[in-house]
Amino acid sequence: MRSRLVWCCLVVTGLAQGRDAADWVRDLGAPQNEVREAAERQLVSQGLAARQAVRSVLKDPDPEVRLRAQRIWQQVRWGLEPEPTQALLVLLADWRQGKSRGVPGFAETWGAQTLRAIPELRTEPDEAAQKLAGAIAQRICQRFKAVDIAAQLQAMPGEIPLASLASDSLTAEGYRTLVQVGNLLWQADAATALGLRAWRRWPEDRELRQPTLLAIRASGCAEAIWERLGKPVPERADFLLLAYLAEDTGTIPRFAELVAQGVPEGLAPDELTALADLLEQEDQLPAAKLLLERGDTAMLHYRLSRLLLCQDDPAGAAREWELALTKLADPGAIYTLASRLEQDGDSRAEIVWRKLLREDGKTDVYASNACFRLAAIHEARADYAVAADFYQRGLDCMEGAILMTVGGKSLTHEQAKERIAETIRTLRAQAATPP
Amino acid sequence: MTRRTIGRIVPLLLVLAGRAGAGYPVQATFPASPSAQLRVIFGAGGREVLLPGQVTFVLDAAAAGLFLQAEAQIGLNTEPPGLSLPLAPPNPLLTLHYDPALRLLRVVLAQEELTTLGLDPGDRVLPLPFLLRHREQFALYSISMQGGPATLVSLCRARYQLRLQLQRDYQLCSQLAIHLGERELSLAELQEGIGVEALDELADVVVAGTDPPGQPFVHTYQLDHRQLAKRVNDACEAAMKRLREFWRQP
Repeated sequence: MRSRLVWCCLVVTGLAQGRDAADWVRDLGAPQNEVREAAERQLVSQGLAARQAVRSVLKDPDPEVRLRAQRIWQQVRWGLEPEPTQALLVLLADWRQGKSRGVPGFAETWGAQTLRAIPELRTEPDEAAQKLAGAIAQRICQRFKAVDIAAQLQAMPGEIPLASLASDSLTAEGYRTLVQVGNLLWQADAATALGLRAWRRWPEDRELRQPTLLAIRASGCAEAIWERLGKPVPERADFLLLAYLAEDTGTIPRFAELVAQGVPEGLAPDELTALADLLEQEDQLPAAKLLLERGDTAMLHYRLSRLLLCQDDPAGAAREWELALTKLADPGAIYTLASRLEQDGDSRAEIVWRKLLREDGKTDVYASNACFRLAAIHEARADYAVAADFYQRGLDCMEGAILMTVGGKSLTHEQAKERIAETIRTLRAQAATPP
Repeated sequence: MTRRTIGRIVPLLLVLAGRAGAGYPVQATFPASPSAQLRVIFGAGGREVLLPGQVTFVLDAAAAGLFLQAEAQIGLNTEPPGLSLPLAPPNPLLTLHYDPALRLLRVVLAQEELTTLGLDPGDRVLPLPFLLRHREQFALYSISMQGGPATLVSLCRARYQLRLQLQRDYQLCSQLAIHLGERELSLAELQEGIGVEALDELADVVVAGTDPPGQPFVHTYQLDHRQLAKRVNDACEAAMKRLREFWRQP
C-alpha cells in the first residue's frame, strides 16, 4: 500500500513538472482565484521560459488575464532568469535616477546572457534605458570573446535579435565582436547587417574585414552588394568594401574596372598602397597605377616608380624616384621606405638608410637601426671594415634597449650588446686578413 | 518480453527517435577550386611571392634561383594520379631529350618515350633553361640546342597548402566530422590550411555536423585538382616574370 502511494505521488509530481508555460497561461483565466494566483506565481518564477507564452496573452479579451499577463510581463519581458531580472531592474532604476554605474559588475556577474535584455531595453522610451542598453552591449563585447558570448547565447532558448544589440555607443571592437557572434551562431543576415553598418563607420578597421566578408559569403548577398554599390566613384567605405569583396570572390578585374571609372577622395596612403597591392598581384597594372598616382607620399612615389619600371618606362620611374626622395620628411617615413626597399631587394635601400644617420653624435633609435642595417649591407658585400664601423656607430648612438632575437630566443640588452661587440671583433679580424 | 518482441520494438524506437530529432541533414555544395588560396612552399620556405589567382609561392633561395633562370616550363601529370616519377640523379626515372631536327622535346620514362612536346627555339644558340614540374618536384633542365639529353641543373621540392574559403564559421557546431576523401581533418587544418604533398591528393572536402541552432548539415567543398594545377601553371609563368622584374635594378 505504501509503495503504491509513493508511485501516485511521483506520478502527480511528474504531471505538475510536465506542465509548460502555455498550461500555466491557460490557468490565468481559471474560475478559481487560487488557481489564477498559483499560475501567476509559476509564470513569474519560470522567467525566460514563460516569456513567449505570456506575450501571446498581453492583449487577451479577458481583462483579468490581460491584467495578470501585463504584470507578469514586466518581470519576464527581459528574457532573463528571475535573479538577473531583479538585478537589471535595480540597475535600470539607478540609471533613470542619473546614477550611471554598476554595468561592469552586472555584466561580470551575469555574463553574456544579459544581452538578451537589450531588445526590451530598446523599446523603453527614455534615454537612460537606451544608454544602459548600449553600455551593457559594449561591456559584454569588451569583456568576453565572441566565441564565449555565442556559446552562452546558443545554450539559451530562442534566437536573440543581434541587430538590436547595435547602437551608436558601441565601439568598433563591439561591432566586430557582434559580427563574429552572428557568424558563430549562423545568423548570416544579422551578421551581414551589423558588419556593413560597422564598415561604413570604420572602413579602416582591418580586423572587421574577415568576419564581415564571411557573413556576406554565408548570406549570399555579394552580388546584391556589388549591384547596389558598384556605381562610378562610390564613397570611400563602399570603394574599400568592393575591393575586398572582389578579392574574396576572385573578381579583381571587376574592381579594376571600377577603379578605371574613378577613385573616391579621402583614401589614406596605406589604403592606396594596399589596394594597389591587390591589383598588382592580379596583374591589373593600369588600375594599380591609377591608385598610386592619387597619393603624394614617399612610399606611393616609390611604388609607382617600381611599377613604371615593370612597364618599361625608366624615365617615368626615375622621375617618381626623385619625387619619393623629396617626400622623406620625417624619420618614420624614411625608415618605412628603407625597409620596403630592402624587402624588395632594391639596392637604393642604402641611400635611404643613410638619410637617417646623424652627425651630431646624439642617441637616436632610427639612426642606430640605420647603422645596423648599413652594417649588414656592407657585410654582405664583404666590406668588413666599413661594416664593423657601422656596427660600432650603431652601438654608440643606440637609444633605449636593443631588441634582438637569435634562433627564436630573445636576448637581453647586455647580451645583445655583447653579441654585436663580438661581431665587430670578428669583422675587424676578417678585414685584417688578406683576401 | 521475448527477444522477438525486443527485436520489433528496437527498430521502431530508432525510427521514432529519428523523427523526434532534427530530421535530415541540410546539404549544400560549394565550388571551392576557384576561390581557395593556394600556397606552394619550397624547402624550408622564405620569401613570399604573391601571384595571380590567389597563389602564393614561398621560395627558398634555390627555388628563387630556379624561377629566375627558367625561360619555359611545363607540368607533367600521370594517369592514374598519385604516382611520383623520380627526377633526381643518379637514376632518374624521367628524363628529357631534345631533337633539334624535329624540334621536339621527348619526355622519356625508363627508356620509353612517354610524350613529346613541340619546342621551337627560333635562332637560339644558348641552352634553354627549362622548368619541368611533376607533383612535388620542380626541376630545372638545361636543354642544349644541339640536341641530346637535357642536363638537370637544379631540383627543388615543394609542398602545397590549400586554404578553403569557408562559407560558415564551424566553431560552435557539434558532432563535427571533416574529411578530405578518406583523410580525417581537424577544424584547425580546415581553417588554417590543408597540407598535401601533391595536388592530385586533393578530393572534395566534406564537413558534416550539427549547426548552432541544432540542424544537421553536410557541406561539400568541391575541389578539382586539374583546376588547381592550372592555377599553379599560370602562377609559375607569373613567378618567372615577376622574379625577373624583381631583380631588375633601377
